[in-house]
Amino acid sequence: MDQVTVKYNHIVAVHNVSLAVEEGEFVAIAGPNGGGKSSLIKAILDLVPLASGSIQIFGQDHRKAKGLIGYIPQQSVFDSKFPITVRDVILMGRLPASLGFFHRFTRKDERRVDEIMEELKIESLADRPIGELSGGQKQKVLLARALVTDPKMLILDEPTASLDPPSKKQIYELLKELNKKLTILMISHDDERIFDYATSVAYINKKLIYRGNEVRSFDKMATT
Amino acid sequence: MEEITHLALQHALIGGILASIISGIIGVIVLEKRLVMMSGGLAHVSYGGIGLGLYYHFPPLIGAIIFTIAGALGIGRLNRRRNETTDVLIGVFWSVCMAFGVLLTQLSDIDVDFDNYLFGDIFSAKTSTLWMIFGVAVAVLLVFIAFYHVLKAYLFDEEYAEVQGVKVKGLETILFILLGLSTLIILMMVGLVLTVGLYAAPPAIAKKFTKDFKKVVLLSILLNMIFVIIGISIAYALQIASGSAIIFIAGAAYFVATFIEYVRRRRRMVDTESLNA
Repeated sequence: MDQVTVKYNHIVAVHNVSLAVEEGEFVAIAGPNGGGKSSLIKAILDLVPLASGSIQIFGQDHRKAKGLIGYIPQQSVFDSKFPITVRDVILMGRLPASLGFFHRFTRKDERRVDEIMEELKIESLADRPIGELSGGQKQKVLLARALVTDPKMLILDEPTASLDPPSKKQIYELLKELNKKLTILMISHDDERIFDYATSVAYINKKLIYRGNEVRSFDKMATT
Repeated sequence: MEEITHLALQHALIGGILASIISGIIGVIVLEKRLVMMSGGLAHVSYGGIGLGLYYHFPPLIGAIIFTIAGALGIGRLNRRRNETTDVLIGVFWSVCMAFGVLLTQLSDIDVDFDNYLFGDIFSAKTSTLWMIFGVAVAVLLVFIAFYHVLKAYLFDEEYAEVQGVKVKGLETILFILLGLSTLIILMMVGLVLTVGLYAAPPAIAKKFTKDFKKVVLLSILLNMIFVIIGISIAYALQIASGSAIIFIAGAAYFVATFIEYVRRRRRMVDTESLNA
């Protein structure tokens, strides 16, 4: 991405950030609350418009790159009480990039969902309502939904917030495994253990303050 | 109030059953997207159009259609921005339109029975009105079936649907137009003051008994039909306005369902406690 600025009602959330992520990297985005981490990934996902700058994903303009990215939002953005089963949540990942007029899922879609559920060992949850799952299980379902799109890159917004330590570790191990095939960009604001897994870090507080592999030294960064 | 004839009863039942399909489907959307306030607002906004029609001598229904659709799209835009002033804006918009309607009605020299608008009068439905209800019911069903999967995704996790490339704004525009039209129809049945009850109660009850989206929708339609049929029968027997009878039944059912849920949960809690002991 090149000199990206994002504003909400004239308030600058991200200022002039240039950031390159190489294929195969596992980049942790760190920074304080309100520092623009979420705005940055929303800009990459084309959920918010850019005030200036440009973003390229695998050589394409980010607005045309739907389907290349698997997105895992924070758990708080959706309604856990919504009557929907795990299988149906994951099937969402196979929705077409259109208005979806008379769209029906094919057998291939269903098969892909089964494969991914097996891979993540959540096939036994398939017909459970999403609201009945534990935090760690929900996170795996969201991961599965992102993976059925067969993305080249995963973007995660604090996937381990509010998880207990064992579940956190499990998710990180999973991501490390997935990183062998996929590029990963992940927001993490309070968990230092991520630095055992990530290959590099970007520290963002409105501006890009640090970018590199010295992943352990970011505590000092916060004070400078 | 005029005496309700047998033919009027027939019309009311046909209209009521069709309207149940509409409000069952739209009600689920209203509930999941938290649009209860908005749909209440729309019902009142429609009165601005009714007043305009009465004053300028064109069919009030046309005025109401224009006002509710414009209102749905306008309030929908406000809702999207969602900040602390949204509530206030909807409230002001709603009361100003209502005041505008009342003002024009009083200025026009037509003698209007306010009660019919406020509390509904399905018994006076003409054949042409029934056809209109039929048309909206078909449109709602068509949209629901055609967009079933994207609609479900939109209701559950709008942001993800957008990342996936679903044209969320286009879908929302279609839904808001339908919301406007269906609000108008519910309003004919139960009146503008009581519309919200028929949207909110049936899907809220349905959600207590099933966790399957399709079943929630079907159950809301079914509950709507039951409330409407019982309500209309009571209204016919007692020769009163349809709205209050229907909403009373819906509200009573909601409280009974909530109570049953509470008792069930209590019992489950006691069971697990005795297991642990």
